[in-house]
Formats: sequence, C-alpha cells, structure tokens
Amino acid sequence: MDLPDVISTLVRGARGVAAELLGVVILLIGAIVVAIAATAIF
Amino acid sequence: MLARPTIGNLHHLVHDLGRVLAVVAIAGLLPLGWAVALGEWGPFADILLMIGVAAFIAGLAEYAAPPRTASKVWGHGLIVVACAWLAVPAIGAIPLVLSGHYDGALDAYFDAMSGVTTTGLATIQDVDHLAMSTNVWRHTLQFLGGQGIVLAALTFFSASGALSLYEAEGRDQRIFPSVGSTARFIWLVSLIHGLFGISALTIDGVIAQGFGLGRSLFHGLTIFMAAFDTGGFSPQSTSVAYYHSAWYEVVVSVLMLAGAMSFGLHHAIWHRRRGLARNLEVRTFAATLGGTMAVMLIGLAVTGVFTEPAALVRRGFFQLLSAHTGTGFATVSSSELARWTGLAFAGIVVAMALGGMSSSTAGGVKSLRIGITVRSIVDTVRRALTPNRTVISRTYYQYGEHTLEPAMATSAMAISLLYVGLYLAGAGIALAYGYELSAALFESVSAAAAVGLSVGVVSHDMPTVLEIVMILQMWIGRLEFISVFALLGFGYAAVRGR
Repeated sequence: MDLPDVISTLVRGARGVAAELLGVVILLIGAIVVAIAATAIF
Repeated sequence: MLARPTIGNLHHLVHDLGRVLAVVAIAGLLPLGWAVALGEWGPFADILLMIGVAAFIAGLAEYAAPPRTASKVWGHGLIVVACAWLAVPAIGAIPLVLSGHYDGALDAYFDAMSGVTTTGLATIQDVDHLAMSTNVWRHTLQFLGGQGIVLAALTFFSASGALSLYEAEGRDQRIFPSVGSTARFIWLVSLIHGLFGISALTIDGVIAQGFGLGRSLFHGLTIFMAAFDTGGFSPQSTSVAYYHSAWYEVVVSVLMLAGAMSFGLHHAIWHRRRGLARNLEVRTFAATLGGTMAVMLIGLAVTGVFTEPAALVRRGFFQLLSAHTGTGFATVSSSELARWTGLAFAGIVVAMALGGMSSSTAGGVKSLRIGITVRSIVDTVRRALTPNRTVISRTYYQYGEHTLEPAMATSAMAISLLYVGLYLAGAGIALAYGYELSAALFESVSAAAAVGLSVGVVSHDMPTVLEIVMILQMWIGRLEFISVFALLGFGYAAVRGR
C-alpha cells in the first residue's frame, strides 16, 4: 500500500465510522422521544 | 449409510487443527509482551506455558500430518471449526486457571469459551485485581473468536478448502471473489475501528478518568476488543459503569453497532453503494432494534425503575444496544437488571435472542433470517388471501433483487426454531435447579445468543451441570448449529459407518 492508498482507506474508514455514529445518534433521538412520552403517560 | 472417515480425512483434520493452534500461540505474544513491559513475571510464565503447549501441539500436528492435496471429507471445514472451537478454549484457559482467580479448571474453561464465542459471561472472581497481562489474554481470546479463529489461520496460512473453512465459521458472505482478499478486508475494517476506538477511549482515560497513559491504553485496548467483537468482557467487575462517562458510552455504542453490522455492509458503506436502506437485513435490524428499544423504555417507565427521563434513556439505551448487538456490556448491576420486569424484561430478552447481522461478530438468530422468515410468512398469508390467479412476487432486496426460494425460507425457519429450542433447553435446566423462570430464560438466552448480560445466575458457585450446559449453549449458538451437526455426523460415521 502506498501513501495515497493509505489515505483513501482512512477516508473510507472515517466515512464508515461517521455512518455508525449517525446511526447511534438517530437511535438515541428516537429513544429520547419515546422515554419522554412514556414517562409523561405512565 | 455414512462412509467411515479414512486416515486421509483424519490427516486433514489434524493438519488444520494444528494450524489453528499455531495462531493461538502467535496471539499469545501480545499478552506476553504486555507481561514483560509491566514486569508481571507470574502471568508471564503462565502465558509462556500456554504458548508452549499450543506451539508444541501445532508442531506435532505439522510433523504427523504434513500438507496434502488429497480430497477432503464432505463437511471437512465444518468439522475443523467445531473441533477448533472446543480445543482453543482448552488451551486458552491455561493462563486463566493458573491465575488463581478461578475455582477450578471448569470455571476457567467456561470463561475461555465465553471469550472465544464472544459471549462475555464470566465466572472469574475479583477481576478488578487480575494481572493486566492475563486480562489482555482474556480479551485477546475474545478478539480472536470475534474475528474468527479460522479466518485468522487463513490469513497466516493459505489453505486448500479455504472457502468451506470460512463459511463454517458462520460467515456466508464473501465480499471479494477470494477468501484471502475478504479476510484482508475484515482485518482492515477492524484496524480502522481499532485506531478510532482505542484512540478515543485512551484520550478519555487520560483526560476525564485521570488515568496514566499506560492504564488508559490498557482500558482502551481491552474495551475496544470487547466492544467491536461484541464480546462484553471488561477489566472491571462493574463493566462500563466503572467509567461514569457519557463519552465512553457513546464511543462504545458506536463500536458495538459496528461489530453487529455485517462486513458486507461495512464494505458497501465504505464504497458508497446505493440502496442500502432497501436491504432486507438493514431494515430488519433497524426495525427490531427500534421496536425492542421502544418496548423496553415503555416497560421501564411503567415499572418506575427510573424517575428521571435522562437516566431512563441513558441506562435503557445503552443496555438495549448492548443486548441487541450481543455485546453484554452493562451500565447497571446484575441485581438492578433483575428488577427490570414486565415489558422491560421482554424487550431486552427478545433483543438478545434476535441478535445482529449475518457475517458479523454478533450472535443470536440474526436479522437476515428474521427478515426472510417474516417475508415468507407474509407471502404465504397474502397467497391465502388473494385469488388463485394473482401472481405474488417472492423477492427480497439484499444488495440487489433476489428470489425468495422455498429452500432458503425453510432453512431460515429451521435455524430460527433451533435457536428457540436452544434457548428453552437451557432455561429448562436452570428451572430444574430452582431458578425463577425469568432469570432462567434471561441467562439461557444470554448464553446461547452470545450476549453476556447476567441477572446473577452465572457465577463461580453455579451448579456444575448448568455450567456445562451453558458452555455447550455458547459453543452451539456461536457456530449456528451446522458445524456441530457435522461433527456429530463425523463421530457417528467413525463408529457406525462403512
């Protein structure tokens, strides 16, 4: 692997980690909404 | 009538098992180096002994069964994998049993099997005072198991019949045409997540926890290995709750999610493939994750375990994600988890039972099988409700359109049913020992789906028979049944075959 390959792999990997972070954030927002609604109702 | 295995068949089996044990010896160099760096000479000797035993057996196998090109018995890869996943914990348990933190060899074997199968249930005592190098070995076992011991062996040694070995480990997705390039990609994904995860956790250790650099690196490395490989071992008895850090929990959440994703999905994201949200597996995983999360949070609100929404979200979110991804990290104690009754209990047990994606390090039934099963049931109902002439499309989208063949649906349903049977069998044995139904079911699902969360059944003083049953559950569940059936068939053919 030469330097451009390493950089391109790191960029792709960072894109993957960012997508996973986005998934966690979306799930967390959903959880917050459900938790607020559930504690208000029950 | 089955054909009796020949000497040639055994030759291949011994040869490949030797290669797998050579990988264990190589992996032992990491904790060995750690022991040298810290001057932990007692654990150093224990780990060195383990490396010696693994290397000796590997050498003996290489000498007794040198490489051959002769044909292999049907299911050879399955049999090798089933044997390897019994042998590796036996060798890997040597430093554990010598550490003095276990009641005996069975407890150490339980922990090693729990590590290799990426379960995370533990019978260790006083883990907080376990030597760092022995702790690194426990986590290395977990990392090896998550990456796939045989996959690791394929990386070091090219092997004929590599594809059957690769698939036997429960990885049915080849990302690249050759197994070798697929193995390299899997290691690359792990390396990138390692760089991200270990750095983020080490920085938190130094800045927020006030640890020294060495201790921060130790915690970062071990927690990364356990999170990305959905293992759940922790260097502290209080698991992730030890760190009291929201940042730590976010980083671990990202790693757990990454670990539960198939390597095919990682590849698709890395290369910006379109249509990922249409994938049956992605949709099923998102639906079951969101659904069980909602059920559990409502259950927690009803039972009133947490009065503040913030605490409810933080504990509930992390615990459910840990359960669904099959990791088993905890931010609440076992006794507190046992008080999560009603819907909260149902949500977390179902999440554990369903598991992550196929070709990932997670256990459980797996999202693709759930999706195919549900799609098949829906198609059957639609066919029953519509006029005879109506054509019902039996297709699903998974990186492209596929026809839902009846054989595929039957296979998915059969494996799903086998998992349900495995969950119930373990729960039945625990019930026979007098445990409550909820605790028995929780612990059985946790073991068979390779999760690792516990409500207190698993401990160093648990009944011996139950401990053996859980070892078998972890082994069978991680190998997704087929390899175990192949080994049983091989054994039967050796005795009764012609």
